[in-house]
Amino acid sequence: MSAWLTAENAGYTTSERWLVERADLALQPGQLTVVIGPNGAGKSTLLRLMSGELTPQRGRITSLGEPLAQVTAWRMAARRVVMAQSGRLSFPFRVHEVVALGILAVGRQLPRFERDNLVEASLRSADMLALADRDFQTLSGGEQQRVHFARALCQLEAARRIETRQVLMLDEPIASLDLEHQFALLDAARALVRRPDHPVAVMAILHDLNLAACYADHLVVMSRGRIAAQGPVRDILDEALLAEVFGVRLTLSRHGGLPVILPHAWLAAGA
Amino acid sequence: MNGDVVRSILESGQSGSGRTGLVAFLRTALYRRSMIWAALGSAMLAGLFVLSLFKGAVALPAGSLFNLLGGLIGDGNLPDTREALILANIRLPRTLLAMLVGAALAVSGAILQGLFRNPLADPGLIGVSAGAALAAGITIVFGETLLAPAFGRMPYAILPLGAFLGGLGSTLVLYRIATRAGRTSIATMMLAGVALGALSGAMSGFLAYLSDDRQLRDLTFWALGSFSGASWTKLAAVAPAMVAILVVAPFLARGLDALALGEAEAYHLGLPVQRVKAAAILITAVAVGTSVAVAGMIGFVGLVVPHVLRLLLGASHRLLLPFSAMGGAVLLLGADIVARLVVAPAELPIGILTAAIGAPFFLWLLLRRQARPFE
Repeated sequence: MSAWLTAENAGYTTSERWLVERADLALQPGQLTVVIGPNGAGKSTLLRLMSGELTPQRGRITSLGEPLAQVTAWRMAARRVVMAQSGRLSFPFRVHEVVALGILAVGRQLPRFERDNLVEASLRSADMLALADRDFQTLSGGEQQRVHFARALCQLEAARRIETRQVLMLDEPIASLDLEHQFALLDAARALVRRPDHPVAVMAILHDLNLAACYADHLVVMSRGRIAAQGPVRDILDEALLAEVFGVRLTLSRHGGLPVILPHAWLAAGA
Repeated sequence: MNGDVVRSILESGQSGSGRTGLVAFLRTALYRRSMIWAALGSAMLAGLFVLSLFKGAVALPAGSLFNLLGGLIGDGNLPDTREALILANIRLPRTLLAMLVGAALAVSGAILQGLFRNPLADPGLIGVSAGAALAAGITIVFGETLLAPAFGRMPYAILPLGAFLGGLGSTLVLYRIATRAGRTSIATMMLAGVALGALSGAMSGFLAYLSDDRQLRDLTFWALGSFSGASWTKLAAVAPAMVAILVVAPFLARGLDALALGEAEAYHLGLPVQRVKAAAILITAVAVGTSVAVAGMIGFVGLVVPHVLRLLLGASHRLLLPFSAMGGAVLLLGADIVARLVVAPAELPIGILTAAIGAPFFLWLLLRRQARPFE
């Protein structure tokens, strides 16, 4: 199956340095791609390049075979949904209004009751229905992140009526979430990838290596603007590689068949 | 979050049973509330409209309106009385102008705040009005000399046109200065606006130094703002542009709502961001430019009205934009009536009045925000 969103030899530079030097990445349907790497490795820049937010100075990005420059913002919004890292709002919108922003463009043709239902279902999926009428600005960081996830789900579902070959891009989606909701969000992402009718392609940037190892179908390791390695989890999880990329000594272990990554610093701190 | 997102969403997508959910309920409740405020606002506007016709340096008996109407219906002509002339040629155009300018200023305030993602943006505060006033000043002082050979005397339409270009120019400069690599810095925008306003003010001051007595009186009028010079000619010169803006502005609602998340996010949602920004800048420049052209600099309307409305009706621009038009009309018409009455038979420049209300309000806003400082 051909990829739905592809970066070929993509590079992006500021006046000072290449944030992404060269990256080749293909987001496949039915696959949860997890990108890991230290701070400043270029993970977010790669995501922003592939989402169309940034234009690469080198190489190209294609969506369903078309260069991104040829796809209108509206059509692109039907093909890929982004949950960005920072999600601050400048005005006191209600939670349900923030979620409805997801279908502002792609849900324009839907009848009103259907839009309401979509917003409500998305809120329920993100466990935020109880706070639907709260002022978004008064929520905690984790709650705000869940609202943005609900907004992404809402856009994804409404856009499904326009385009069924969809990509969901999540930039550190669980950074502020409590333990329960970290798993719930990643489970939801996996459910979208595995869904029987028109599975979605998901790209997620994570910092927790154990969660990355647990949920990734395709693991991408970035380092200094380049993709250091990518492939199935079992091929990529390598003590030497991770130690070099993250600059941290660690031990790879197994617990009931699952890979567990134990940084030595962690073991030392507890000793 | 139960993780069963697929089923949860699928079920909702297919249910169209008309069973009202929470979101539908909340949306409907807001709609009902907005209708109540619309009715209240209309009533206030109608009351002020009537008040504005009868109150002023010359108090008119209520009967004069009926005489006027009777005359119009009877033989299609205005009765040739002093009351009728005041009503038809002074009070009516003035009332309409105050409403239009108030609506235009409040809507541009709401749009600028949405564009800059900052509830403290206001055409007066960020120097757009000052730019328009400077351009108007240049037109007053130099227009006659430059244009007299071609037109004999300066055509009135040049003045709003000049003010409009001034407003557009300063908005564009401001946006350029504050935007780096596609991101608009709010702090830079505020500071640049203050600097730009000061610069325009200095140049306006220099113009005053150059001008003769008659021009000086005109310049002072721009600086303080007033509707005392309202006439059908002025109204006709700016009404088409202003009405067009008030009709078009609500179409920006979707784009401004999306921009509240940020420019990148608005693009992710599928909005043509550059087009929305360009339209917003153009609309504000036209609204502020024409307002300044006919009424001078009237500050704080664009700041106060959208802010109060956000407290009443929430942040969505779908309601905010049309209600700002109504709120601005109510506020400025009310202020104009007060300006006419407090020192009657003389008149207070309305800009003084709005600043006297607006500045303390602005301070209160700043103090209230200290708990959650802006970026």
